[in-house]
Amino acid sequence: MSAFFKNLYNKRRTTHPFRWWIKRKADSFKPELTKDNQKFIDDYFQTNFSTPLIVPDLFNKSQKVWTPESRRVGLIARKIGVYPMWLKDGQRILTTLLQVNDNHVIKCYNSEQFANQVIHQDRYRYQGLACAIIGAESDHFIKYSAGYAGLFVEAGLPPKKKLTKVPITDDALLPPGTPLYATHFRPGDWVDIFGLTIEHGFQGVVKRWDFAGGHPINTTKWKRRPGAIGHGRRAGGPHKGKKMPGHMGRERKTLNGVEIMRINTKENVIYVRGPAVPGETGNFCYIFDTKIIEKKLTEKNPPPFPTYFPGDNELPVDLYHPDVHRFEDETIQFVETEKEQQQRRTGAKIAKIRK
Amino acid sequence: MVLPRVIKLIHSYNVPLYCQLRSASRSWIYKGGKGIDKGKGFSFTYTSTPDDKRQIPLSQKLIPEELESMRLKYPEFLPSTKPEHRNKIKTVLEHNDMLQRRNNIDIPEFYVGSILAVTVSDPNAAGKISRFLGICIFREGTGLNSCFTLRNIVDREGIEIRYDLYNPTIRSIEVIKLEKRLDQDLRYLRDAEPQYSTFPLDMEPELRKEGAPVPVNPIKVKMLPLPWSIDWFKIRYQHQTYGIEKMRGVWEYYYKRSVHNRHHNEYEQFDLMKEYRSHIPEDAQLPIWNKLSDYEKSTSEIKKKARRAKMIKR
Repeated sequence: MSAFFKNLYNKRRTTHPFRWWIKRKADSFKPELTKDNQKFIDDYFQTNFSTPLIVPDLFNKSQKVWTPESRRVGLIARKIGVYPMWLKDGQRILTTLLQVNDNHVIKCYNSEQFANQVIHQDRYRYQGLACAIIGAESDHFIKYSAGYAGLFVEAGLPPKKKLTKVPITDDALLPPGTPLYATHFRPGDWVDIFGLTIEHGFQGVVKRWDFAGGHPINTTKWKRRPGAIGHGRRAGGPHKGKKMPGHMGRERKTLNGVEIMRINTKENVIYVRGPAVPGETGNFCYIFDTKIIEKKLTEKNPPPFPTYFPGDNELPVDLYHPDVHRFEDETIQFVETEKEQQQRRTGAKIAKIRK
Repeated sequence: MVLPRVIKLIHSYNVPLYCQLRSASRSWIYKGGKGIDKGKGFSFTYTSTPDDKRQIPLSQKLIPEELESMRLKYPEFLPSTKPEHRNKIKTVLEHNDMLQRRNNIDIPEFYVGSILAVTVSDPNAAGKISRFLGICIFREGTGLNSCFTLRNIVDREGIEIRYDLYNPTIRSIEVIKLEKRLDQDLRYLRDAEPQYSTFPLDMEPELRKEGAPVPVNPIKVKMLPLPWSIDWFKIRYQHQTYGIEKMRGVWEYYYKRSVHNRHHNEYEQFDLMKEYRSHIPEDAQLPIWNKLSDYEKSTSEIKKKARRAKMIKR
């Protein structure tokens, strides 16, 4: 029964939008307009929506003090691809590239305001927490419904393609319209990544659960089958949760404890260690601080809080983890210790004598 | 009947070697055993009419003739053949990293079939340096993932080492003999007689003039008797194996057998979108080659001086 409730509240792959949410897409996608009207709309879009109307005030730009109890906002990113990098030991690692494209804070709620909005199932999870809504990748407002575009009026932004709700503490509240950059995180930080995995459709038992299968010899039918299911539960039938064929992939998964190796500040790209970020290339994923206790942020090395604000000093284009070998640097060369030199000489002498 | 005009843009790894003779932008697939045996070169797939007599003329080439050889010289700069893995921002970032690495090491042009010597800084070797010499069997991968394998026989034992091209532990890559072979994939040397893949480790480099065309070695390899470790005719990227000497007891059609050339139905070869997705169009290729040619011009004099200094030392 426990598996049943788990699937009900944390759904594996189907998530229907709530009925009280606003309809997203417009009914008529291609309105028939004359050229003058089209031009008027484009000009209006460029003048009013290309940059945020309400620039957040300077009093909020000052950095606050970070405490270990406080929670920060996350980021929405696109998975661009995978390519290798090398450490200073000469070890080869794979990194995934996550682009943080056009992220803004759209709305924030206090802990009192958010407590009224929380649905019944999440009442313990979000107890005493506030909430921030974040959007990524602004788009033309003519594609969306009037209600959906109205959500972004307060922030003074065009409508976004993707929205998320992030639970935060009251310290980390931000005014609507603040931009979020990839330098919200730093190289060396540990991070959780959430996303939808690759979809494979209805798959057999060999691909889905890595069963061995049988021998494809001549006339046998024992090739890619699961075999006997078994008489479990006092011969009532197979056990609950038996591995069987079915739908594979497109599940909501988190990768916990991933290290950031490099950040490109110009293109807002985060390089993360490991190729196993869920989803195909081009899929959205969400980045947060870790919940793993050993890898959490500490007071000795506090992060930019509530976010990174671009100051007067420009950052360099690439920020690296100290272990990573930069491609600008010279080739890696290992130096022999005195012990190793002695061993090599004595080994050569012994080889001469044996000959 | 006038058939539709088809322009096929070919990725470097899937191209047979004889395609270099003509421009890359034209459309062809090698037609059976006709062309090369009779000395005609390649024939067009869908029509055999020459270019002058075509009712529908072929479109103009976007890539100029100077940059045509860049596709074969720098094959790793093309993005991957899988359209799912392509991304414009990723390729730009990747190319910047590759060019920054090329500032520190002189990666020469080489092809499958040329003999190389690679020195690597290795923490487990004596003196922390190891050097290996061998024939380049295979090149694969794109971008920073690109790598090449060297093969040699030392003390009657075949050794193959695969190097990453942009690995920062590589100290130098020497071209000892620059030439091409008839095939783009020489992994069948594993099952050939050992004389074809034995080279002395202290081999001296051949001198050649700058700007001279790269010679093709038309040698045909004598294979060991069957059975082999892998059926080399099936696995090949090419449509035919040119470098294997014909054997007794093997029919002729067996040499031409290939999986990649086969279509599921008659109309699949006319699917333009399928070809567009699996190949890289010239519009996407041209900015890459322009960027590389600018890079070559800026660094050519520095590299010349470094090479001359190396030669004087010897």
